[in-house]
Order: sequence, then structure tokens, then C-alpha cells
Amino acid sequence: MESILKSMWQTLKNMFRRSVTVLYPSDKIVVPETSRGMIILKVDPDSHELLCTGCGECKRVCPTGVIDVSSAGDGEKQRASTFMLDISNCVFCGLCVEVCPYSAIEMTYKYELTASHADYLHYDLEELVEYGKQKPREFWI
Amino acid sequence: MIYLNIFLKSLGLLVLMLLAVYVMIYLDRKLVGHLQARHGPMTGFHGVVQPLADWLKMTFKGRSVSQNSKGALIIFAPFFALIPATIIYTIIPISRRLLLYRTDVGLILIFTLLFLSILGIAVAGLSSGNRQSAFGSLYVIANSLGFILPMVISTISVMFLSGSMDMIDIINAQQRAWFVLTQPIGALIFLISSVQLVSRSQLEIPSTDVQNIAGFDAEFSGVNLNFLRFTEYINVLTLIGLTTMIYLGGWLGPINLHSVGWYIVKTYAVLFLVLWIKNSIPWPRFEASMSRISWRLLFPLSIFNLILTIVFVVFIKPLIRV
Repeated sequence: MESILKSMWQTLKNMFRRSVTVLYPSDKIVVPETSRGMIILKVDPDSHELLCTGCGECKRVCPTGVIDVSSAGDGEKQRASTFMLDISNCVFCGLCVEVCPYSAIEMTYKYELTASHADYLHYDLEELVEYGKQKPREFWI
Repeated sequence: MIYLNIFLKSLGLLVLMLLAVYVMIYLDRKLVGHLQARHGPMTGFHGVVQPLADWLKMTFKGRSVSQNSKGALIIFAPFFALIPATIIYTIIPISRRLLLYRTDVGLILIFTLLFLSILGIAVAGLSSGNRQSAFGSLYVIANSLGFILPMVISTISVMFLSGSMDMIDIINAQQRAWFVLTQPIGALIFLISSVQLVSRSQLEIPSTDVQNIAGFDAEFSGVNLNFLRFTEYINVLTLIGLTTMIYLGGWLGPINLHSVGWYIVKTYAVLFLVLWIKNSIPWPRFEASMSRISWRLLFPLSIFNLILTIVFVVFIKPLIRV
């Protein structure tokens, strides 16, 4: 009986407190620091060169196999020639970011990833680099 | 002149019923939202047009009928439920004047029609031609049987106290004290049963978790589903109105207010209480609520309350009068 009264008191208090939900999409909350969203490819700020060498570590570790990458060049000059990402099957586990030896992959806060067609959810190298030029926090504004 | 009077009263009742259901749907969505620290619907000004939007959506949505369903029965089943549910309002005295037909057996008739309406809802499930919906219907019947029985027994106590089954006599018998004060156990049983019988959400009984996608109304869509939902809301309104009339003195109030006003104020106060309780406590499983709450608690308690009342009416009341 005491627990019933306690929960009734709690729900009554809820009536007078601020709503925990927001009226999306007109209102949006600030996503938590640790949240994981859209994947981007980073570019070296000084040389403006792509950091990704196309070593394929991310492709190997991806549990859903949404990354497809190939490289061109040898040694120091090795760079990714193609990088395909199918975000529709991505589980946002962040393993690709963790495993990357060059810290070339980063996860942003962009979570609105719907599209009118499945093909629009396939991103190539240029698009991923273009996304990387934006500041991470700008994604959800 | 008498026909005009009846016509106007019927029209008044219909308008009142539709408005009451509208406000109830709104409260059911908005109030529950606030109880759960949510915004609730925001269509129009703070969601006031949400019930209308719901109605329009369901009315103009395509109606699909399953091939396995029982042809005409699935089309007319919602009306089997709706007609008894609305007939009840010819007997319920909402105010001193707003009553279409006064009968000596009002209370019994109300419960009979209420149960008939619930049976109509059960027929709706059985006519779906879907095994899970049929199970859903059985849940509806079991649930209503389990909770209407303690309700009826506790109202028998009220009948003993008021000496009548006529609704107006029952309300007039509460001039000195409402029956919630003289029959607290009965009122509690009535309230708990009402909470259990108010089961519209898919997640509650009679659509248990297993039948979440296959409740008794799984095969209904469009206008038919609209009628079914409307019936359920009217039944809830009836149950809560009965609580108001039997235990809270109907139109009687401490200060002078229009009798319909008192009825509405009390009904919505009880509705608030029911929704508040319903959304505050974790919901027991179907069989747990049936066995632990209904058959093992409410049923014996209502019998005990009846015995107490009979002892009071037969042995103690004559002594007090002397």
C-alpha cells in the first residue's frame, strides 16, 4: 500500500514538473558528449591531406560489414582511393574509430540520417570528407 | 409536447455524451502524458483537437476486412456493443430532470446492458476469424465477469441501504450522507473494479502483452474500429458515472450548483482518480489480477460487506430508529 501511495505521489509531482520529452522536431535536445552519430573521414589541418591510408582495419573490424575501402600508393604515400559507407546498416558501435591506427575516422553527433531512398544512405569518400569539414557540434543544430 | 420534450432530452443527452467522450479522450491522452512527465498530444492548442484528429483519421482510413472473418458479423459487431452502451443513458439520471425513462429496476438494468455491451465487444473479437483475437475476446469476458461481479455485490449492499433499485431513490437516499461514507468498503471495491475494467490501451488487459498485436480488435480498422473505441469510452463513462451516482450522491452537492454541473464535476474527479491510479502502479499480469485481486480479494470482501450491511439493516437500523 505504501509503495502504491509513493508511486501515486511521484506521478502527481510529474504533473507539475517540466516535461522530460521535447517537441521534436521543433525543439531539440543537446546530444550527450558520448553519443555516436554519422561517421566522417578526417583531413590533416596543415597539409589538407586525407589521413586515411586505406589500410582496411576498419573494414575488417566492422561487425555489419558496411565499410568498403581500397588504397593506392605505397609506403608513406599510401592513401585511400575509395571509401564506401552504407550508413543504413551501421550499428554505430564505434569499433572503426577505435581500431583506426591513424585516427582518420571520427564519429559526429549527427543522428538525423533518414533519406527518401536507400541509395542516398551510401556515402563515398568525397562525401565523408565533406562532412568532416563541419564542426562536430554543428550537426544537430 | 411530450414527444418534443423527449426529443430535446435525447438530443441533450447525445450532445452531452459526445462531449463527455471527447473530453475523456483528451484527458486520457493529455493528463496521462503529464502524469508521465511528457507533453502529451499538442495538436491545436495544447492538443484540444487531438480527439477530433483521431476520429477523422479513423473515419477516413481504409477499412480492411480479413478473409477469415465472419462476414456480416464483423461489420455489425461494433453496433451490438454500441447499442446497449447508449441505451444505458436513457436510464441514468444525469440530473433531476435529464432522465428519459424511470424504472424500478434501474440498477439491475444498467448492469445488464453494460454486460451486454461488453459481450458485444467480445463478439467483435470472436467474429474476427483470428485465433488470437478470439482469445482476446475470452479475456474481455473473463475480465468483466471477474470485476463486475464484486461490483454488483457491493451495489446490492447499496440497494439494501436505500431500499430501492431505482437510481433516483438511491441518489435521494444520500441526502444526509453519501454512500462513500457509509459504505467505504463497497466504494473501494467499486473503484478498484472500475480501474480494472477501464482497459482501452493495447498494453493492458484485455489485450495482454502476448496479444499486443492481436487483441480482440486486431482485425478492426476504419469506421468499425472507431465505433468499437467509442463504445469502450462510453462504457468507461458509464462505470465512472455509476460510481458518482451510487457512492458520491449523483447531483447532490454541498453548495448550490446546477445538478448536471455536480454530476460532471464528480464524474471527472473520479475519472482523474482512476487515471491517476492506473498510471501510477505497475500493472499485474492478467491471471494475477484475476486471481489475486478479483476472486481472492474483491469477491470475498464484497460478500463480507454485504453481510455487514444486512446485519446493519436488519438488526441495528431498527434499534437506532427506536
